[in-house]
Amino acid sequence: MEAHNMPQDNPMGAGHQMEPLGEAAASRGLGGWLNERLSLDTFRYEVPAHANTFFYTLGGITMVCVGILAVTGILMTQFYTPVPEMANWSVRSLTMRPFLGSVLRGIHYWTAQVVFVTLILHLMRVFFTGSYHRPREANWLIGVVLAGLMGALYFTGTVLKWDQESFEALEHMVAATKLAGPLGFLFSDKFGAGSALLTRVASLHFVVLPLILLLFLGAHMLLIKKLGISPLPWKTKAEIAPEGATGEPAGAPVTLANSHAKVAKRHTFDRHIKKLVGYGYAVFGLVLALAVLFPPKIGAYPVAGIEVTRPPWVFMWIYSIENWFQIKGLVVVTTLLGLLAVAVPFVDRAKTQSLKDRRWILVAGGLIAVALVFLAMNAYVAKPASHLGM
Amino acid sequence: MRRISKILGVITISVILIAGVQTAFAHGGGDDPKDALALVQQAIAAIQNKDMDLATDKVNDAIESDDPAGVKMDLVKQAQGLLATDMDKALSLLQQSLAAPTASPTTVQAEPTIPLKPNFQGTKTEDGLLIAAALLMLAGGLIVSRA
Repeated sequence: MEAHNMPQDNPMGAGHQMEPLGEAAASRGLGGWLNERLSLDTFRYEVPAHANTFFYTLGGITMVCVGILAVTGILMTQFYTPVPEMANWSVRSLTMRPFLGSVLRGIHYWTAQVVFVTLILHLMRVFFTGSYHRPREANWLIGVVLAGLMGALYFTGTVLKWDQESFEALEHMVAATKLAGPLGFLFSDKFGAGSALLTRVASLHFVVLPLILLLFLGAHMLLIKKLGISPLPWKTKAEIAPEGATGEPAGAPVTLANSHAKVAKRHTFDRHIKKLVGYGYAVFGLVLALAVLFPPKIGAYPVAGIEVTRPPWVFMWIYSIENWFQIKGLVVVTTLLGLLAVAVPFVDRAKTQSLKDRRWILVAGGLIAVALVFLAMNAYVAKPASHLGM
Repeated sequence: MRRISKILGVITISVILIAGVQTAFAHGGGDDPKDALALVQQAIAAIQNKDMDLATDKVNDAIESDDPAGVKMDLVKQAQGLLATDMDKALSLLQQSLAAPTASPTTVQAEPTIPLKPNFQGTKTEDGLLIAAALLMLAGGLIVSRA
């Protein structure tokens, strides 16, 4: 374990507080007025330079997108009727009736796609840079749960529009939960008898999953604040001293204290937030444009007894597994992948985050990623098949 | 390294076991509906999802069904002849063959068996939103570059 991985030895990562603004500054202008009352200086702690780079901002961008999803989702629920007889119609009604209803739904739909792109990139960044190393194992596990929750939210959102794709997705979920034994009890007829499954899925999407997400998101951010931003697995230019700067020969690594003094003073968390605001504007502009140019469609009212649709791209890799191994394959492979994700920080026992020390786990992770891409591509070209014996 | 090998080994064995057990059940059949109404609805869904083989099977079954209630069979027979040559016309005929939409109120969008595909129309509102979107992206880029 390298000392610089420990938060107590990483003043930048541990969220070292900068000196508060002086009284004069605090009282100056609107910013000063707000700071005095809201203690905005709290967010002005130092972070390492790389914390403000794009790849270390992906988690924040995902969170901003979750905010957009929450706002648009709350608005959409005002128009949605979560019963099978009315659900498809109410989404059509939202699309056609209220002013900008189609755009509202489009923003929600496209933001969900962006969330999954940034989520996957964030997960890959954390894995690639070994940010799950001690003492951040618990935060990795929380991240895995968050990814699972986002998948569940995406899935339940897909079901709500109640077209053929939604119906078949729900049928698959019911079949999968039957195989899950006691874990599938929540989706059985014995639980919530008399209430349509669609209504229960809607309550999951609107209330249960967002609440759990909020809880884990809070814990995720708290641990990032407490443990600090993980160091890079390689030396940065800032960590290589120029000749004479520290009395050491050129190229010699400097101490973190020196690099802190030279670089990190200019990198604070409030700057990270400002960047996130910028990315938030950009993402909102992007999803707005996509919502106008490519409004999401809604299929016809569903028909039971056939399987003619493919899942959305997020779950497309599972479709290949189902084509080969049916529903049991879905349950086994997704469970194995989840367990693998959980096992990552415990399997990778390399003493440092160095890419060289972790080459085997990086190769294994890369192979799994390639396999998932291959499975998804294979599903795109495969003909829709029956997995439920319809 | 050994642990990774073990895990990969477990995955491989699991996949092989599942393949051996499950492939035999792939694409297994279930109980198909017997009434023409359900069969035509299935045919419509199959066409909308571009599965023409299934659609042809369902239309053939509907024509041979002993329970034609709620379906105008002459239109289904017309659709049968068009499935291979004019998918859109066949779909339209099948939709007309159903006596009435069965599920939803029709005050907003007439036919629940027709997918709703909103498109960019180039209206002033849409143009305004696109300009707003461009400004938002520009503002976002500026904030990021200056932060």
